[in-house]
Amino acid sequence: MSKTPIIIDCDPGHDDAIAILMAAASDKLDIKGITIVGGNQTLEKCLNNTLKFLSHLDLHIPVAAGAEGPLLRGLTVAPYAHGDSGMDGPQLPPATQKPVEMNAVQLMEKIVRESEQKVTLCPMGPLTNIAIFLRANPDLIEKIDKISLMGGTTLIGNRTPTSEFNIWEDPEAADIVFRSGIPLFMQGLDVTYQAGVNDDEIAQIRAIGNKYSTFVADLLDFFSKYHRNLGRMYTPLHDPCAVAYVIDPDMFTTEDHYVEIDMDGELTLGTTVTHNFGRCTHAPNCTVSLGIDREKFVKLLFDSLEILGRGGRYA
Amino acid sequence: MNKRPIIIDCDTGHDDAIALLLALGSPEVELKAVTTTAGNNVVDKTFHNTLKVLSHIGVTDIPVAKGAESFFFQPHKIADHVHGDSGLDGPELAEPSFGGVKLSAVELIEKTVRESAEKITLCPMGPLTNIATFVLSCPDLLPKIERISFMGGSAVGGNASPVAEFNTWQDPEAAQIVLKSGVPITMCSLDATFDAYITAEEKERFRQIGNKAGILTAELLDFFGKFHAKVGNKGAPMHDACAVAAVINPALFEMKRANVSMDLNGTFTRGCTTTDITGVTGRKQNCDVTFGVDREAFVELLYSAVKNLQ
Amino acid sequence: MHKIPVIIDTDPGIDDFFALAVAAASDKLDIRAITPVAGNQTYEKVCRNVENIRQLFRMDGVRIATGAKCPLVSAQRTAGNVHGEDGLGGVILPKAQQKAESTYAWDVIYEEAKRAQGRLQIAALGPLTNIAIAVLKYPDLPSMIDKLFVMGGTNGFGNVSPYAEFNIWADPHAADIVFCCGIKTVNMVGLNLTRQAILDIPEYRRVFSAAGDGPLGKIVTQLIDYLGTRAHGLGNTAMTLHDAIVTAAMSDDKLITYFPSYVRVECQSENAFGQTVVFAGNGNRVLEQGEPNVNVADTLDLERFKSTLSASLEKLKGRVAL
Repeated sequence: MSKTPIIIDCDPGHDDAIAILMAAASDKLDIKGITIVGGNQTLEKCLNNTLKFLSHLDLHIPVAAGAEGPLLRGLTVAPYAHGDSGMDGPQLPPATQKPVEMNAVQLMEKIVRESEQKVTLCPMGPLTNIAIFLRANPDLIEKIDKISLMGGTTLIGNRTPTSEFNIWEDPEAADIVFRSGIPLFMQGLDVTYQAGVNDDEIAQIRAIGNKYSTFVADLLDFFSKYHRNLGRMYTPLHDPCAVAYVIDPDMFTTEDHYVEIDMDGELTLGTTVTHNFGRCTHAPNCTVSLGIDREKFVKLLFDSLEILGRGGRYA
Repeated sequence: MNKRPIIIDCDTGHDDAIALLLALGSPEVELKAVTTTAGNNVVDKTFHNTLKVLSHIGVTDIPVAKGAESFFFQPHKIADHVHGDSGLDGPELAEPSFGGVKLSAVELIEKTVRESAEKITLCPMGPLTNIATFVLSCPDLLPKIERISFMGGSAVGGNASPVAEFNTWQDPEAAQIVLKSGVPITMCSLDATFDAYITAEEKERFRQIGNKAGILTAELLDFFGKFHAKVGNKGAPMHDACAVAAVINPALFEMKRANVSMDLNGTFTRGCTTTDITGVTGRKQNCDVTFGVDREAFVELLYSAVKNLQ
Repeated sequence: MHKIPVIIDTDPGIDDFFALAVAAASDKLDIRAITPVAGNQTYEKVCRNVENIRQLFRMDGVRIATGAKCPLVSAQRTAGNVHGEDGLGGVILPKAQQKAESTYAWDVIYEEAKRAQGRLQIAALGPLTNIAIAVLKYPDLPSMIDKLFVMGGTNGFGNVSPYAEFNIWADPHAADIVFCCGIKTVNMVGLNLTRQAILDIPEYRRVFSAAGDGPLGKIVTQLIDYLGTRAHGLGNTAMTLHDAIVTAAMSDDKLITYFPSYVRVECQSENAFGQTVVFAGNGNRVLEQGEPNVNVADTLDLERFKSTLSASLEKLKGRVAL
């Protein structure tokens, strides 16, 4: 069976890093490139975080820097969740790897153009890079197999009462992506809050005992503090859902809906308005994940870290 | 001659005070009531300033009511950079010799309109909060409103934002309610009111009249003129007096019929009176908008009114 | 003297036709590329018009790139009521032998900017979609552009709504991105300026008599007659050639005066959608402003523009290819 070529577009970010590791461990996926976007923290910090952990874990994947901020709006970062560095927690030595001599959009272009198979995109930050890529390469849209993105919510937000951080950060970019016609799979807060790990499981991850699991446990020790303070039993692994859906969609329960982005609401900016009330006349443009087999998802994470520990991935 | 009954709704304010003098000294209009609103300053101060100005020239028999403290949706921002701390810095005025009525601004407008045999003209010269509340609460009285001649808005340019005039920018939702009320409207906009200014030489003519009103006018202009000189305006523009002047003699102004509707949700354009003079929007014309003023005739009108007073 | 390397981003469009004529006739401009963009008409139509105009004016060696077919975010709207179904008022130009190349406008702009080593000037005569994609894809591009001339916006009244001008209104998000991207000189030639060149039909005939009564003369007469008819239908007796002023200004610093201002584009409000908010505009008495990012065109030397138009047509009349 041939592997699915994917590009991960992200803003590491604790859960972004875990998503990359999950993808790296999967024999179903071939990560062709990682593109970075300003989001959880500034572009510079997110890029540095990515190169540091890839260097530390000896994973060699092309990394390119993308947009510093949203298409039209200023960047708002999320240090309350990810710390000042954007990936506080693990103590890592400086990066030895460097980004490629291309920007994010150019790297995506190259990968998609050269790929014989259609490519899957996994965005897990604001959709700025993806939107620029789509607008700059209308001829390559047909070579995108699908987009499985972490973002949005059908009910309750985490940045405002109704909007999720990634979509809220760059609603115009999200609008471009949601109207692109590309098969879209939305891993929003509806599902990602169910995809969490508890403290026992974090301890079990540490007990795996390789450098990958230690890194992930260090990430989760920090990341879980924020969520525990909010009274959550599970520390949500938002971004890994975007990857897990590509690896094993059967793990998820979904519904197809027409989803559009609010770009001008004073109170509702960045809301993924989901027409799920049964009277929508638009054809669905998005498969929305609403549930997940959590046990299976956590097992996938454990297995991924063990596989990585055996070495040989992206060497 | 039949005097046109008017009600002034103001946020006194230097040019508001001069608008009051213009109304009181002009035989063409009869000032039936004065209501005050938050605007240039908080309503307690604009109310107090109004009573002080009227007391100073010996007019104590006109009902004055205190109105809106705050706006429909947005917080109040005062213009003390233009009108000073008191909202009427400059002249030393004695404490008022009379108090206001025990009615709210809207109640006073309602009572005055209801009891009047003739149609009443409203002359708002602050944010339109009181007038909008009246429009919403007394739909049955709207046919008794002859016209609303308000100072506010702008077809091109602004003074509170690049595209918005201070009064409409302060309470855009109220302005929209008034604009959509169906009552005939004259919008005395910045396009003309900036040209209705008084020069330093003309100011001295007012002082030389020698009566209380003349000296008060000059002293108001002494203070008000400083701000306008600082920002490079030709003289001290009598924005608010235009709302009254346009009732006394509309021919002083170059008017264009237009649809005017408020911009309520622009990032950069909220508070702008979107003025469609070419009909490109297809919306119904609802306003006579001032695009120019015969300045010298305007100053003359004001001069004779002030001269008529104590 | 070295010629100025320029790219013309355009959506012909009758006034675009004259803008290209002025540029093609200029011995000060070295036209490196034309980048079509959907605007006055749909993309296929404006691209075909660009191809035909390139051949008509014998602009051999001028690249034509592939531009954006729709706005960045907003829905597409054209100006067929002004420029006709085909964008050129039904005037038939000889069909071009050579088609546009498949390289995208934004990639060509970047390539040419690098090649021009900081001297590239761009005339944007349509919606700013191509330019916006270029600066989004290549964040280092703004510092490589010497000047961007934009026909668009207004400091005052608009033409598609009370305050919005067509090109900016057609893609306001792109315009705001371009105005704020950091190009050191952005000259906004808006309606407040182009309306200073409103001429009536007899006046146009006088100016265009320089085109002679040969093939070029016939084409420009047809174009002007069409515009005149349209203007009449819209209740006007006179009109202006917005875009031609921009290409004339590229090689003539004395044609237009500007004032610097902070300018933003309204993208939220329905009433003011696509309005260029000029913070230091003529009517404004606002004290607080952002750093100037745009030079707003203010006054036009009309006689100078008319002679440029005449001279351009005179020069081209012997050169057109049929």
